[in-house]
Amino acid sequence: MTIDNDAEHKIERMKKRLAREKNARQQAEILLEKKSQELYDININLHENIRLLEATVVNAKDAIMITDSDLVNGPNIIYVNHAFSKLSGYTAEEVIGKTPRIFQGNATDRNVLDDLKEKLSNGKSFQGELKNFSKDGAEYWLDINITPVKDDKGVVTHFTAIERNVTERKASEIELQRQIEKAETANVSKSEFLANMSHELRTPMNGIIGLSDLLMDTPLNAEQEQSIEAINKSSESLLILLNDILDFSKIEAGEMTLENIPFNLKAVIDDTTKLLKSQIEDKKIEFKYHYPSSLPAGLIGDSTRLQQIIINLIGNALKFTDKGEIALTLSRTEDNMMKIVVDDTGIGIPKDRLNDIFMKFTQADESTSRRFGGTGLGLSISQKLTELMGGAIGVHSIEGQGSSFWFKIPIIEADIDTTHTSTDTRHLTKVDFSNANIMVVDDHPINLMYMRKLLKKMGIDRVQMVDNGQEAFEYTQVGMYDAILMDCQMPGMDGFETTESIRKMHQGNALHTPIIAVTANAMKGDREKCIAAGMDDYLSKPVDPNALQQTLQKWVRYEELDLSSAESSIPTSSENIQNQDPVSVDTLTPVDLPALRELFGSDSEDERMLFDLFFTTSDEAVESLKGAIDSDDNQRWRKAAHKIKGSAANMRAEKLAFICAEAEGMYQATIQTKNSLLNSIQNEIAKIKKQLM
Amino acid sequence: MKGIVFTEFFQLVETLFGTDMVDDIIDDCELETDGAYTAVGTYNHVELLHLVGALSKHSNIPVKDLVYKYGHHLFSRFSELMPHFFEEPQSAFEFLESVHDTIHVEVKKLYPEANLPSFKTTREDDKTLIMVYESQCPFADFAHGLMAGCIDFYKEDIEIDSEDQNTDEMYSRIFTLKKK
Repeated sequence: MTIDNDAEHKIERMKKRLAREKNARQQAEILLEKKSQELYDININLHENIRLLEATVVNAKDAIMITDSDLVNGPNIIYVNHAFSKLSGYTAEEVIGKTPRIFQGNATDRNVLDDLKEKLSNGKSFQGELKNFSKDGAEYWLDINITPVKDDKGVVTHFTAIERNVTERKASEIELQRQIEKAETANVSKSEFLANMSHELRTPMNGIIGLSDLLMDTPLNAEQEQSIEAINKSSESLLILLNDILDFSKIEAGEMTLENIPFNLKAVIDDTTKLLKSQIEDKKIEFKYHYPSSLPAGLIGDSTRLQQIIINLIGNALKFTDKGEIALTLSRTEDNMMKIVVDDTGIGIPKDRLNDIFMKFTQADESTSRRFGGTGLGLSISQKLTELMGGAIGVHSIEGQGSSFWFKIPIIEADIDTTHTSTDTRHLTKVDFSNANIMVVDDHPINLMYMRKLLKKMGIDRVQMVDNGQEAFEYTQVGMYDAILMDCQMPGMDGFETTESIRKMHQGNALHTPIIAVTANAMKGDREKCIAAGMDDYLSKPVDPNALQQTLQKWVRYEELDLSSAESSIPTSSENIQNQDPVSVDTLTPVDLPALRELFGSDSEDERMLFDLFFTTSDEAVESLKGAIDSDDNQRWRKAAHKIKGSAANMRAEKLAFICAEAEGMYQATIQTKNSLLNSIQNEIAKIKKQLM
Repeated sequence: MKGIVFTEFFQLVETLFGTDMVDDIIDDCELETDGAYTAVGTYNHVELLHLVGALSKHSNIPVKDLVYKYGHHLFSRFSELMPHFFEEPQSAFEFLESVHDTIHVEVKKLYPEANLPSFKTTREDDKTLIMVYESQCPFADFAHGLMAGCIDFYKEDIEIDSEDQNTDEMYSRIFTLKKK
């Protein structure tokens, strides 16, 4: 290549290079122009979006706050809108850079704040209500929604809070809640009052019934006899009403508990119809009764309450039926329920009243109670009881032709021995408590003995009997017991104090001996008092063996025995003396020895000791009764009568127990009446002595 | 392919072989652009393949080595041109892990039309990083060179093993980086 050619070649290359450079520059210019246009368009779009967002955020009715995401030292407020300033009283300048904690005060709920912080720390959003304070110190309620703002890597950069003032709503909510609580308290007080009143009233009513019964046995002229009978009848009606009110208030207060015990169904129904027989016959109404074979012999449930419902329904039918018939029909439904229907040919119920016939204090119309009496509680109680049993109740009725009340409850079959036909035959699962070590604390020797016998009957031999609280406390310091049965009223340290001391001693260690209160009080609130003192459960005197076993099963380790040996079930003790049918009292022998021996066994030495104890304590108590009359000390009278009542019940001396219950209830009676009662008590004790010695 | 890869390539050729070599390889190739590239433009990657092929012919250096060498060089250029991508990663592994989820995301924001390779990473253990290269373009060696540049940038001692897993649809290479 020549020099000229070389130069030419170089020039040619330079030209090409320049052309490439120019070309590249032109490409770059075109791209730049294109990008500029893109940027311009994006900018326009962005501005439009910002304008919309700003208009939304700035002028929103809800308060809006944006903070950074520094949860350690901040968060720091970076933006608030107009509504926020209006709500809080702070201008934007005053709060930007500050933390939202400046709006909170002592009355701000810490739990909500903790929840808020936890949620935000985990990158979650928060929704809740919080009390804040404005610049001038006024408090206001906020419904807050806080949302974390994340960047494209998912890192939280900000929080936006949208707050709505809910002060007014909150105030009405609080007011509403207050009103509800007030109403509930009022309702509870009402129920408590009713329960207490009816309970208190029952005692003197039993006295009236018992004494009028006794009076009827004395020589009377015709007029007197009529009056006494009227007194007796009225008192019994009153007692039924009181029982209804007591039941109802128990149900209302949620304190009605049902038993779950095997019972003989046929026997219960038979007994129920027998109870009503005389009333039905009095009205000259035909009574039909159908019991199908499809129903099982044994059921598990609460036979007493079942009986109560049937009595209520038949009693109701009786009240409103003057001629024709009443029919009781039992059947088994397809869904395995027991249906019981009571049909009558009475006055019926108007269609428009059918729906509220089960409401409390409701009768078909206002005039019903004037014509037929009653509280209007019976059906309401029946309804609640069937509901508690997992069943239902209803009515069909045609005005002027009659009514058909029905209820159904689930069938829970029990495997029972149908040869026992008495309703009292209650079978419990036989259990083995033989390893248990129980302490019984009671100042009354007969009660101690009674409890020991009951426990022995359950196979419990290791029974520590203690007659005062101090000693009981000392025993628990050295010994371990599976349960303590604790009398509440004792001289010196009572059951409550003793329990408190025991609980205090074991405070901080894992040892917790079940303490079961055993008390003659049956007042509402007693259970709560026992629990408050640190006791675990509650039994009322006289202690029912079944109740004792069931309670112990809750607290003491036991082994279940083969069901086939359940024959030797524990007999029921006498029902609460106050509920005893007064008419039957007179027919009793002084002491029901077979019952006593069934319970205590036939250990003659033990029996002798029991009798001696009984006579000693009752003689002492009789002295006390005399002393009470002399010194006109009503409380002393009441206590002494109570004491004899308890030991008499345990001795199965039911008539004596009954008279003492009356005496106890009538502690404010005149000296004359008391003397007459004392006389009856002494007579009865004499009869017992004669029987037993 | 981004124009910067072409412009930087010419820069390197000029530095290593002189201005004439740039003219020579452009003359050798049939290029749609006639060899005029701007860093902000986007061009067909085939042109780069042609250019590298021409350079190989002129310099007697295999294409594979050239591409690797260029990748290595380009990494140090990136560290000068785009220092903000180097603020966070403190090691070669950390940087390589940020390529797919951070750097390419940012590139996409600037150049939505860019067709970028995929660089998924997994840490096998403290000393091992698996990096899977997937692309429509056969530039695995280029990626290899970039990785080597990255390791040298962080002054670390890491060995790179690779295995091709190409399919009909995709160029794919699995790189295993092991710290010594």
